[in-house]
Amino acid sequence: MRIEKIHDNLWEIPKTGGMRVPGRVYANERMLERIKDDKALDQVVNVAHLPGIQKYSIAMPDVHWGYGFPIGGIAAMDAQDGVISPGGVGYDINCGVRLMSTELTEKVVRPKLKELVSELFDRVPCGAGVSGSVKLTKEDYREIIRKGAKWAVERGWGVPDDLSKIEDYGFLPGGDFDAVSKRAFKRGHDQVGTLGSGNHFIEVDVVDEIYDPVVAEAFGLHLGYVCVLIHCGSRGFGHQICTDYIDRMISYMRREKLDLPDKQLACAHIKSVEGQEYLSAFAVAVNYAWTNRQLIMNSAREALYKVFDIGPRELGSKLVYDVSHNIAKFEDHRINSSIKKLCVHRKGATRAFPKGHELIPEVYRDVGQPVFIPGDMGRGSYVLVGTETAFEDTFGTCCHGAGRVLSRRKALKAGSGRNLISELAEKGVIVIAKGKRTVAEEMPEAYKDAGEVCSVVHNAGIARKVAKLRPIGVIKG
Amino acid sequence: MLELMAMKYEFLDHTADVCIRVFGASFSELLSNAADALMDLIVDRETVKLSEEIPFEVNGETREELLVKMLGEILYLHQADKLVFKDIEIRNVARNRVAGILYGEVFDSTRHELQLDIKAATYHNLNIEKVNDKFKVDIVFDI
Repeated sequence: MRIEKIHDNLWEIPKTGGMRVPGRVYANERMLERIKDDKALDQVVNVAHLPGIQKYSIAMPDVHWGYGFPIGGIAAMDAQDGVISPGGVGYDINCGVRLMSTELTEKVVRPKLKELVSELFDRVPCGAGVSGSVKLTKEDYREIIRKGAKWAVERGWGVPDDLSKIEDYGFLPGGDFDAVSKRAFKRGHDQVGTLGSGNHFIEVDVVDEIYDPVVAEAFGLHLGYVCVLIHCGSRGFGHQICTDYIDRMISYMRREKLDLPDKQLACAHIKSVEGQEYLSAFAVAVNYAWTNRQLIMNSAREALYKVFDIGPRELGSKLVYDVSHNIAKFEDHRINSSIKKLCVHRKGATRAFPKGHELIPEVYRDVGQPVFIPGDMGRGSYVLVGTETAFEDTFGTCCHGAGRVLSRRKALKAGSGRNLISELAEKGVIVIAKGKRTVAEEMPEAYKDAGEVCSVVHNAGIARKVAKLRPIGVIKG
Repeated sequence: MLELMAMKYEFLDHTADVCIRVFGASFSELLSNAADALMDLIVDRETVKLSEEIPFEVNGETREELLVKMLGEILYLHQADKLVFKDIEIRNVARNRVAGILYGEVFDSTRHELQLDIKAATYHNLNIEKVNDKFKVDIVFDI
């Protein structure tokens, strides 16, 4: 595969064969060599074959081999004659990250940290096969379709201020109850408010470094203060919707004689019946995921109240923002000299809109959209802000995490014989995990350094570093 | 090669997810071995009793679709009906239909430890190959 250098942090895969657009990879030279080790770049090329794709098939520095799309991939399709691909969103529809700030300092939290981590672990069901305490009825689902995360806030699981700081204010219209299978409703009815497993987590962090004091102040982040980072998605509900619609789109592709290099890229034209019905079901899952993160944040607040014997006023917790990183969004972008409506697939990638954009919640319109890049359990996570360059070059998108370098099997091997929980405790990080294998599979060495990933996007100008978060407590499934 | 073919399945490396290579002397055996692999990924099958029999049937246009849909059926029954499985019997394989019976029991957290929360079996690069009259396929599961 030919790869040409555009600048130190950007590379291009020229158009060959059936590619409709070139590929573009954000990485430094050293990272690019590692990226070449797995099949992520082949997947960038495969995505470039999709009908209606605009400008480039893009990969972020955290890119790694997924299924169909690479994880860390972006593809924007013409909303008129392009396609929507459920695999380009992922099984975990609207998987994302939310950050909640508090007015507690590390000094106050540290003496009761173990207790706090245990309390969080007890309150948020996590791991495989667990149910949440909320059981969704048909009417609840209909309300979630109508209101998104507001449904949870109206029930007392949050405050109205939370809604003002979620992407799209925590509600995506267009959801249709009838587009969702009975199977999806059943699979999801007892999973709302649960964390899941794999790379999902709740993390207690300390604001450790500030790179941009003005923006950090606007985001409510202060040095030495504790915040909570939550990563999860739409659980079995979204997984089933994706499963159902990939099957339907495989039939659609056969009927329409659409041929693509990988069946997992299964797609349908946005304007087709299949495309529209997927989008109607997808919207329900998007709202479900926001509701899920809202419930988990509410449980985190309650854990903090209990452990520190304080109330909402003393905790002073505020949602900083909630980003979606497995998503497709209809947005206006400039293509050549005209503005076009596009369906931007972000598969393991985060919207990073610049200040002034009307889709950013009002509270951040003067500074830009917050972006969260969770790192591994040991080395910390980053808060960035969206830029004009991202809007011009990457459809307003940046990376979503550190990105794996070791397979789960290799990580298990590297972790064997080691007590990773003690190793992390020595570094000041208390970890509780439900699954025995999870800690080894998710060990710091299994991931790229989030700091290096963030430096690439910062240097390429597609997001700007605002603050670094240092983990002190981690809950894993 | 003979030794390799006697093997039901093996793990391959995949950066983010789980990839298995499954073998079978026939398509029916390939399905059964793939189901065994998935059941092993979910739970230690030694701990599962044979108290429930669940008939299943899936339809698909190609062998690949039948395979993914059967695995999807197992995942659905596991997650929605809280079942864990010990065994599968493939009873009927037609051109576009597979039917069989799954054997297992309702998940009991005191006796079963779930290993992985698997989101789905994917179609990524899915291609059932026939090598010397034996079947082989690589399957990626989203974790």
